[in-house]
This record gives sequence, structure tokens and C-alpha cells, in this order.
Amino acid sequence: MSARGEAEQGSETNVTLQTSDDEQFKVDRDVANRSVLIRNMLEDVGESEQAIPLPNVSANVLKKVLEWCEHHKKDPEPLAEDLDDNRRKTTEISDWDAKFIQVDQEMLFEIILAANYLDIKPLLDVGCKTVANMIKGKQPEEIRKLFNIVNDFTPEEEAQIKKENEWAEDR
Amino acid sequence: MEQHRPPIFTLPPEILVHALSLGDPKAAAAFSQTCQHAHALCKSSTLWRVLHNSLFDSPAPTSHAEASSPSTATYDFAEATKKRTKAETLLDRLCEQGEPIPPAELAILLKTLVDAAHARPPLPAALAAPEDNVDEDFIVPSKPSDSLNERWLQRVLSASGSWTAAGPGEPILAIHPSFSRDSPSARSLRSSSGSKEKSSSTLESLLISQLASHLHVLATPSPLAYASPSIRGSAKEIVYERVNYLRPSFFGPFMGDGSGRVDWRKVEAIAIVMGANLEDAQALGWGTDPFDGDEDDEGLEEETVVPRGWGATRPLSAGPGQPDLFNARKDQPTQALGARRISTSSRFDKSKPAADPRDWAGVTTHEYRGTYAFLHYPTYHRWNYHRSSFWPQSLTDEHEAVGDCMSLLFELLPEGEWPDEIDVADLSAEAAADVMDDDEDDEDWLGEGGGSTSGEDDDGSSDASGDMYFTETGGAHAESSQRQTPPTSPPEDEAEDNSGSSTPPPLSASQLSNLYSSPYPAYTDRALPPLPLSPLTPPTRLTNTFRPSTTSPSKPPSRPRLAFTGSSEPLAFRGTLTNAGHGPLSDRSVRGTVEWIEEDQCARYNMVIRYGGEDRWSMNGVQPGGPKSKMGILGIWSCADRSEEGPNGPFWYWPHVSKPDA
Repeated sequence: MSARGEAEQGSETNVTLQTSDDEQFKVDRDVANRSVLIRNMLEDVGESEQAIPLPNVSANVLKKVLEWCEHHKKDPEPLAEDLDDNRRKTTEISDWDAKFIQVDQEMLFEIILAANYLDIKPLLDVGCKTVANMIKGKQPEEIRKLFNIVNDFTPEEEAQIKKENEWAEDR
Repeated sequence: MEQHRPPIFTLPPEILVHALSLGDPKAAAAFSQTCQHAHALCKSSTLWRVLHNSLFDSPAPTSHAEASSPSTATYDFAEATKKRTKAETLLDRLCEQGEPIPPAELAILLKTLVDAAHARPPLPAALAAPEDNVDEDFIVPSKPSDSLNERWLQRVLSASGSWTAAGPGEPILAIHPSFSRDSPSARSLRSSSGSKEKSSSTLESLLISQLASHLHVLATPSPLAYASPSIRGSAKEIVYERVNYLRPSFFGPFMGDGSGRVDWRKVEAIAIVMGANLEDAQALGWGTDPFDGDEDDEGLEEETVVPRGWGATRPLSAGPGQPDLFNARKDQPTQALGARRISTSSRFDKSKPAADPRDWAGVTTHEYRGTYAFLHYPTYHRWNYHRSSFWPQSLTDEHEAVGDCMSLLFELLPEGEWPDEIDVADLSAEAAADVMDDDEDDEDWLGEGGGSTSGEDDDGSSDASGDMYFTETGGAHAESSQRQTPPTSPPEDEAEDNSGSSTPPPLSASQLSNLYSSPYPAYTDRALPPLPLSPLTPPTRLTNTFRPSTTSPSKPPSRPRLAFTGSSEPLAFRGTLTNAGHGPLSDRSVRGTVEWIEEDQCARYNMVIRYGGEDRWSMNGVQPGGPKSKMGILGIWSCADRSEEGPNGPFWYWPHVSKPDA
């Protein structure tokens, strides 16, 4: 049934998505299909005029996510083997994605959460890789500053933890 | 006083762990130090498994995995990742700033590198096909390895900064030269087991030089091989030092304490001497096969290629080979001399028989090629028995000869049908008893009580034959002079030292197992099985202790001891370095055994070459790269009859990888 569906549902088919703040987005089926969650829902319910509710995603985030899906609607499906430990090899961020993900931290985390909820693995990886790049090469204090993390270690704990991480010290 | 939750912690833990796993280990370490929550997150085993497997070979069992292969259950991904990250930092500092490795870090660094080399998975069969153009000039192969560990080793050990202008292979030496002319380890090895210092610092330096040599051997050929004439000379002095290869060392490159553990310094010395000799000999045409026809391209097809590079020390790097090569060759109609050099094409039949399932070592699936080297006997004799201020204290300027390129083919003997002589007469208990009656070195070492060592005092004091400098053949005079001038054989005080059971030999097996081998291999944290012979409990007889009975009997070995027989024939060659006096070819045979040394992760070979109706040469060596590795067998040849002043020298035989039909 899904095979027949794929073949017939060209880009002319529209899907309506409804956000947590009750906004509706009409998108091409190709674009919506980037989300494994939505694709599975559509396959389950079949053709429907009804809007698909996305109670975990707000309009400003969905707008951003759909922008990404629109740009990547022609991407090939990721191979099964790329989905586990090897995924990092394929996570070099493309120029377009790098520009796309230049957002404030809150939006970055919202996008990651939405990509996780909507099950869009490539977008999730773009977000996570961005977080990884933000952390890379920084000292703990710099990371705290970056993410507004409060140091809640006691001095004893801090000494202990510094010791257990000596292997990672550059100097 | 609920604090405002930082936005980053709105992400669920599994997503944060995923983000961290896409970074590098140091970033994860820094993040874990920011707060309690981050610290807890970074304890995730998934995080370290993914980080590890993105940088290093996964220890997941492969299709080649054997029963003895380490399981992933006990593997500590975090520990391995952290150790290797640390190693990389130290090596970066060494390469980029010339900052030497802090002594306190040296042993762990070297162990980490050796473990990483051992943790390379066996080479997949599809990649084992010989390459068309082997780049002779570079140790680093042009194609990146399929093994992440191997790529990592090549990267961290290759020159990158300005400091290493000298070329590839330098940083591996800068970590720690396993021996040089003046290093204490070289001196202690040259003077055999005579060292009295048993302090922990001595032990550690021995451990370090063992690890450094092991690493150099795994980077085959030892990068020291071409370093300098004096290092080559130093290696020669270790290789041709007779007392390094007596019974306690099983006549091969093993520890002199009877433990049967591999002495990697001796192996490296052999690798240096043979590597440099073969380089010289190949320049003179060694290893080319005149029977392969006059066409140049056909001749090249069977060219003997000396194994080199990290890839040569991976298990299965020689490829699956061809089942039952010995009989396949034997069945070929014999024509003229050299007819056994059958053409490549006829060797690949349509219907391949299955490989012998017992043959874990690749004894029957490959032709072995290689050779041996030797000193001019008077030089050898002088070096071992008449070293004094009158004679040069060095072998640096003494030339060696290299034997013909030999071709060895083996077949396995059926289990339970091993003829008596397979236990190599010279290593049997009876022979040991005979020899040891007048071999003080051994008795002395064995510490069999005051009575057995008393003879030595007599010999030592009555010896007055120091003027027999030119004795070239073994005789009574020379025999006694051996005891007087011995550069290396233990003097009387050594007897005192060891006759009591309280003093272990310099690098005792138990100390080794604590310092060096545990946990070894890298994947297991289990305690090592008891070593075959504890130095503190003198064995009644050193027989061929590598019998299955001497290892832990609880579980059947997945790599049981195998016995084989076969042929050993020279490929005639066009060079000029040769020795005369091979017996008639039809009369020559080889027999031997191979067994697995779990603690050293390598196979041990004992072989005997027989011709003219007699056992002539004994060859005792190891295969450092694991089963079916290209690197083959490095060891020491010596007289099969163990005659008092018989010569010895190094050999190197490796699986010859024939090129398949185009």
C-alpha cells in the first residue's frame, strides 16, 4: 500500500500540518515526508483532508524545520548503516546547513527537539553536530559561560573531577 | 532556590549524549567538568562506545573471530579512548614541539600503542589480494588502511611538525629507541642475564625497552633497521651473542628466564639485522627467481617481496592462501631442476579443496620464503669466546653473509601420529639431560642445587686456554676458554646468585606478567593464566615446554599445537652472496611445530632442517603479526646437535603471496 502511495503522491499533493499554537502549514507531501513521523502517519491514515496535529512544535520552529525540509526534499534516504555508530562520518555540515543553523541557542535546541520529535535524523544530526562544534576546543569554564551553566561542584569534587580528566589535558 | 535551567539541558539526555558523541573525546571531557548534571551525562557508556568506534576499530567480533578472541563484554571503551587520546596528545607534543615523552608516561604510552596495534582486526580476505605496485620506498602504504587503529597509528607516529624533518618513521624512534649502542638495555642484553640489579627502576626500563621493541617490530621492519651502522652493529651483537639463545631461551628470541615469553628486544634485533641484510642482498638480485622464464614481466610475477609496513603485522594479512599447497606442488610432474616452480596459473585449480580446518597458523596455505644470515665463523667464534681488549668489541664493521632465498612448503601431520622426532631431538628431555650435564649456563640458571654448580668453579679456575684465539672449530680448548673469557656467560658469582631460589632472574615471569602483559590482549581484564614455569620454582628439566600440557589444561586451546613436515629448497638466485654445501636437494626436509603464545599474542615456531641423514639446523622463532600475517617468522637458527661452539644467526621466513592470474 505504501508503494502505491509513494508512486501516486507527487509534489502536487499537499499536506496540512497544525502546530501547538494552532497555526496551519500547507506543504508538499515530498517536504512533509522528510519527517518519518509524518510519513508514517500519512501511510496509516491514507489520503485525508484533515490537518495533522503536531502538539510539540510551535509555529516559529516548524517554519524553520520546513525550510530545511524544503531544501532537502530531494535528498536520498540515509542508508541503514549510517544510522548507528557510523553516523558521525556523514555529519560534515554542508554550507547551506551551516547557514541555516545560525540561530540563537534557544532556537537551536528547539530545532533539535523538533527534529527528534518529527524523526528527521539528518536535521537532528546537523543540530547535534553544531552543539558539538560549539563545545569543541573549549575549557570547562568557557563552556559554562557559553551555555549559562552554573558550576555546582564543591571544591573537593572539582579537584577530583579535574584529576579524572587529566588524560584530556593539552598542556 | 530552583535555579534557572540552562537551555541546553532542555535537551533530553540521549540527545545530548548523541551530540557529544559527534564531537571528540576531549570535548566530552571538558563538558563533563562543567556541572554535576553534565558530569553524570558523560558517564554514559553509549557515549564512549560511539566515540571509541568513530576513532578506533570496534572490538566487535568479526567473521574471523575465534574462540580465543577477546569478547566485547569486558572491553572498556572509555578507558581505551582516554588512553589513546592521551597518547595522541603526548605524540603531538613530541612531533610538533620536540617535547620528549615524560618518563613517567613512557611505559603506558608504549603499551597503549602496542595494544592498539594488537587490536587491529584481521585483514578481510577481499583486501588481502596482493597489490600490483608495491611502493618500496615508503613504509606508509598509499591506500588508507581499512583498520581505524592502523590509520591512527600511522597518523600519530608519522612526522607532521617541523621537528621531524627526517622523514617518516622518526617519531616512533623518538618515543624511545629500544636500544642503541649505549643504552642500558642493550648492554644488559649483550651481557645476557648477568644483571644483578633488580630494582624496580631497572624492571621498568626493561619493560619500556620491551614495549618499544615490540612496537618497532609491529611497525615492521623495525624503523631502526636503517637508522645507523652503529645501531645495526648493536643489533648484530645481540643476534650473534650465543648465550642469548641457549636452553633457557629455548634457543630462540625468548626471555632468558625459562618463562618462554617472547623477548621483543631479541626479536627486534633479528628484524633489524635481517631487514638490513635483505635490503643489501636485494640490491644484488636476491630473491629473483631464474626459473620463472626469461620474460621480465613473468619473472616479476614471482618476485620475492620482503614484507613491510604496519599492514604486514595484521592477522590474515597474507590472505587466505591456497589449501594444501605442499601436495599441490608435489603432484606437479617433475621435469628439470626447478620444475617445481610451476607456473602461477596451474596453481589455481577450478575446484579448490577446503583448507585444513586445523591450520589456524597458515602453515599449509602459503609457501614461505626468506633466508638466514651468518657471520664468518672465525668472527663469530672470536666474538663469543675470545672477546678481549685485543679484539674489536663491536660487530659494526663485521660483514655478514646472507643465504639463498629459500622456499619452504609444509603439510600438517595428523594429530596423534606425530613421529618421535617431531619433538625435535635437541629439545627433548633426553637430549636436554645429556647436554646439560656439561652445560653450566643452564644448570647454573636452573639452580638445581649446590652440587650441580660446583663444576663451574673448577672450570672457571682451571681455565688457562685464553690464548687459543684462532680456534675455529669446537674443541676442548675453546670449550674451556669459553668459560674464562665469556663476555656473557655467567661467572661464578652468578652461580651463587641463582643457586638459591630467592633471587629471580632479571626480568622474571611474574614481574613481567604484572608489568607487561596484563591485561594483554587489550580487550580483557582477566588475570593471566599462570605462566608455564615460575622462575622461583626451578623446573626439573627444561624440555620443550611449549607442550599443551604445560599451559592451563582447563580449556582446550583454540589454537592447538600443530606439527608439520615439508621441504626447504633454495630458489636459485643471481646474486653473489651464497654459501656452498647444501646437501642434495632431494634429501632435504624440514619438520617442526607451531604453537600459540597467548600472553604475547604471537605464534612460536620450532623447526629442524635435515639433510645428509642428519638433523642439521634448528630454527626457533616467533610470528609477531599473528596467524597468517605477512610478516612471517623471525628467529634464530643454530646447530641441531647443540654442539658447544656451534654457530647461530638470524632467519626470517614469510608467507609468499603469489599474485593471482590477471
